[in-house]
Amino acid sequence: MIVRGKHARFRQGVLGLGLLSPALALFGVFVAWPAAMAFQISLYDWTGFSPRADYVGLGHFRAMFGEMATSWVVPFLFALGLALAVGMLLGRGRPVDRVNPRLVRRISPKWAWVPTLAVLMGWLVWWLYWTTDGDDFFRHCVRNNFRLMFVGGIFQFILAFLFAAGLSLPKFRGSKFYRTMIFFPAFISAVGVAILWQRVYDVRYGLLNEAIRGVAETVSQAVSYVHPVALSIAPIEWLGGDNMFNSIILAGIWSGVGSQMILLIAAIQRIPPTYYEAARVDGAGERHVFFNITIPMIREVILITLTLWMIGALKVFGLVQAMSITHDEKSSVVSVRQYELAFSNRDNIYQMGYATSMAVVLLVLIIVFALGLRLLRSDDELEF
Amino acid sequence: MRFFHQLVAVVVITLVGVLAWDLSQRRITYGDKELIIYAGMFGPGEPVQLLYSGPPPGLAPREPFGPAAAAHYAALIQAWPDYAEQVRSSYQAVYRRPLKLDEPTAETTSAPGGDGSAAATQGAAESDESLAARYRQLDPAYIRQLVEALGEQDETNRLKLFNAFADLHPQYDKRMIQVFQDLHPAYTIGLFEDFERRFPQYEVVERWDGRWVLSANRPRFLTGADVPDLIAGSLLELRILYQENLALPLDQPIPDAETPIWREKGIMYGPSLDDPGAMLKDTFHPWALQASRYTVSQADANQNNHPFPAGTEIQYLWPDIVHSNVIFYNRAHFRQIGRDPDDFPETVAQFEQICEQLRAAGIEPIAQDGMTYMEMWWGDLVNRTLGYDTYVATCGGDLPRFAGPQGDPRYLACAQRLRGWRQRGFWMDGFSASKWPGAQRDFGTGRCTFLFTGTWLPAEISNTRSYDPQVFDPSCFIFPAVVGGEGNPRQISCNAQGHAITRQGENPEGAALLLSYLSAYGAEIASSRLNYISAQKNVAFPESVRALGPILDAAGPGDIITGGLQSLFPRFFKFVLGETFSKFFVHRSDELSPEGFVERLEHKAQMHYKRYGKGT
Repeated sequence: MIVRGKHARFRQGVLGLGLLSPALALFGVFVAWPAAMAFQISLYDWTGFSPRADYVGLGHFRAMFGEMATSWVVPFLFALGLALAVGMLLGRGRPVDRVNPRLVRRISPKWAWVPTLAVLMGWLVWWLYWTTDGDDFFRHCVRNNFRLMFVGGIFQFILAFLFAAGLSLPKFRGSKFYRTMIFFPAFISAVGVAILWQRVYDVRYGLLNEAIRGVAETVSQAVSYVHPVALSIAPIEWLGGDNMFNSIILAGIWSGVGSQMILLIAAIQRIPPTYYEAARVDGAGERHVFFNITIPMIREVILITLTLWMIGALKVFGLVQAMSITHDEKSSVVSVRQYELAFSNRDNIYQMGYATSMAVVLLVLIIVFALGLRLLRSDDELEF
Repeated sequence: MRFFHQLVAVVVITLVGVLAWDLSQRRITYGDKELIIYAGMFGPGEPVQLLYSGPPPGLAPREPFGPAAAAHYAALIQAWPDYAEQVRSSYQAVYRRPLKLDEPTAETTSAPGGDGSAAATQGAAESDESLAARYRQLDPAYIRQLVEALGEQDETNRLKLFNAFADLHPQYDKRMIQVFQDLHPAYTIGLFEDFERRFPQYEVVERWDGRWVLSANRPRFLTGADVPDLIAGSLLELRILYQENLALPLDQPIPDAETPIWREKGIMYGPSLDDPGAMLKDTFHPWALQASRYTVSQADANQNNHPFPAGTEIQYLWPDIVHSNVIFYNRAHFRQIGRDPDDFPETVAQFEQICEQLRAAGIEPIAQDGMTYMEMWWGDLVNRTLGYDTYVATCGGDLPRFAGPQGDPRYLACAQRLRGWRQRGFWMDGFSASKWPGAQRDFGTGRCTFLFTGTWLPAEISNTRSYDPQVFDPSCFIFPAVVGGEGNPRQISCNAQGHAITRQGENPEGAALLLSYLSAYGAEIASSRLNYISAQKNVAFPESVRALGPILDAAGPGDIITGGLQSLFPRFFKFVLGETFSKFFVHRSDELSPEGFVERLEHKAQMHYKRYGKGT
């Protein structure tokens, strides 16, 4: 629609704003305002039962990250990151192609985020792995979230991608059946998944240990003598000590791989076959086709699946809460810790302010990682 | 723009309509009745919820006897032969098959030892005769209603019949529900239903918010809107309400109360519901009252503007039941190793000896889950070795310390002893990876001999335990003494569970009346059905924890620990003790030696005092 005249444009602007206002109001009431309130609450010591709250400023963040991490290091690093960002923005636009100086490639402004994000990530890694300052339990929780995000994410993505690539092959028979089977766990709630895997992992009567014992006994019988080692295999404590979080990650992968696979399959199937036909006519092999057509064409979807996994891994709650035996620092995550501190009747702690400051940190982490992933998006939008 | 205005109008009208409908619900649903808002700490379908509320809507039985209760049909026919034909035809009409009274009944075949033998049949015949005698004593007008109801499939009959039964048989007053349920095997009556019958001016609005009842109601406390009149929980769980002065004190005068006795002395000084000559507080066991008191802390007085000075002991909790932490044991295993089943260990050394005997007999001694209740072994061993007051002093920040120059070596000795237990295989295989209720399952099915937990255990395992006394024959004892230890060997934990009346609730009088009713009329049925130790004096101890009765009755004030460290120093308990236990007791990697354990305890304690201060 072509709009002529100032008055008409103004009217259209008002209409647009009016139509947007319900969504904006909902966003404001349910997202922006609670986020702002969360930051406010994080500055107080508060049980949440009565209006009385004691102002502690950044005390909770100081307790979380330690005195040194929050005294001069953070302002210094932020300043450094900002300086680098400004430098990059000012310097963008210089010729970068020496062969053809007339070809000027401008650096996208989004890369100005890189120094800030890099500095932040560097500080975070330093705090996570090289300091003992601050809340040690919280540090372990963040580490566990990261472990889930990176270790679980890599395995899950590779599996999802393999499934998606395999099930998208035109000659694959029974594709719908396998797709449904792999996607099925996504229908089960996190607590359902946890209960199911508890049964599998149970140290005394679990499916996994029974299977291992059965195999050991069968092997012993097959070789016609009872191998002393085979029969003395101690039950593996899948949910004990150091194994616990890895077992939780495995259950998380099982329940999440189907969703990623479906997104990737949908993306792969959207690629017009003419691209593949043209490439094959030009003599491209399967490997070239995969890396030069398939992956670039579904890049946006890959980034979306990774972003969704990243957010899910940082916010994970139900699976860990229901599966963990001890909720100790080896098997807890930030959301579970928050819940214990803010809501647990049994512990009777009710540190609403401190738990909310953890939520603020979680929000910042999610924003940082989401921005980091956005950097990987292509500047050129592919339309097909 | 017109479309936009129309859209806004539709949204506004819808919102106003929803609001008006919501506001009208209260009047439509409850009429002019006074509401008592009850917040329960269990979930829908749990035994306590069924005990209080009765069967949930839609699942209420539709017929008083059910198809399997042939003995009750037979007894009714025997007692009232005039109705025989009507009973038979009603049965035929409802179940589409003739009533066969000579078949062995479901009760007979499922009774313990009921294997269809002549003895069992004889027993059933005798019980049929006594049942008939009981039906014979009922009012003819009621029998007429009952016989009519047998021919109907109507869920509303349950309450109609109960109300008629109660009106016509006042002689069963205190045991009304039990008598009615005995005679109508398909029906369950909730205590709230009986309360509403007795006090028709009240309506109990139930909210079953589960274990996190406090968190679920936190926004209500914060805003002061729709606050429950009553909230269920243990003394420990409801502590925040006392700290923040959100609960009514029960044993202190309430100046602005309408009831004179409340103004003058306090709620607990009012009359008992079933015996107006007795004061409410006199109907409770003294140890139950002691376990319901909260001591106002300095922080409460300074920061929370608490109306009572620091150090005052106030009863905020109306106790229903009391739990103790005890070691349950399987008497069947004692018999297997040639030991007198009632000869439980009185010292820790004897306990260790029995564990060794059990190991030798191929029985796993202690059922244990990874973390649940693990800390109790450490806590009670330390209590018996050093004494509770010493342990409290250490945790509170005073001397002696766990380790270091001012450390008491007995802490290390306790840690070494417990590590020795694990190395000798006293705890069940793979316990560190076992999750609740794994240990209960293995204990109740006769795989392990001991289980250290609370006296709620019999209720929790009632559906999963073995009822074969050769397999599982439970009893209990308190943590044994340590020879040469300074701790009080008679000391026993006592944790009251009940209700608090909220200060912001709109109907404290109704709430107190409901609690009086639950104490007077509900205690016996709660104890018998759930196997809980009642706070009421006149209710017998459940069989599986009967051994505790004399111990509790003989206990002096210094013998009872109420709440323990978790109540005194909740943050220390969680951040220092809890988080260090998991590293020492559970992890198989043995990352902490006993020396490392006490040193870490001390280190974490010092960090804790630095952040939160001593005594938190």
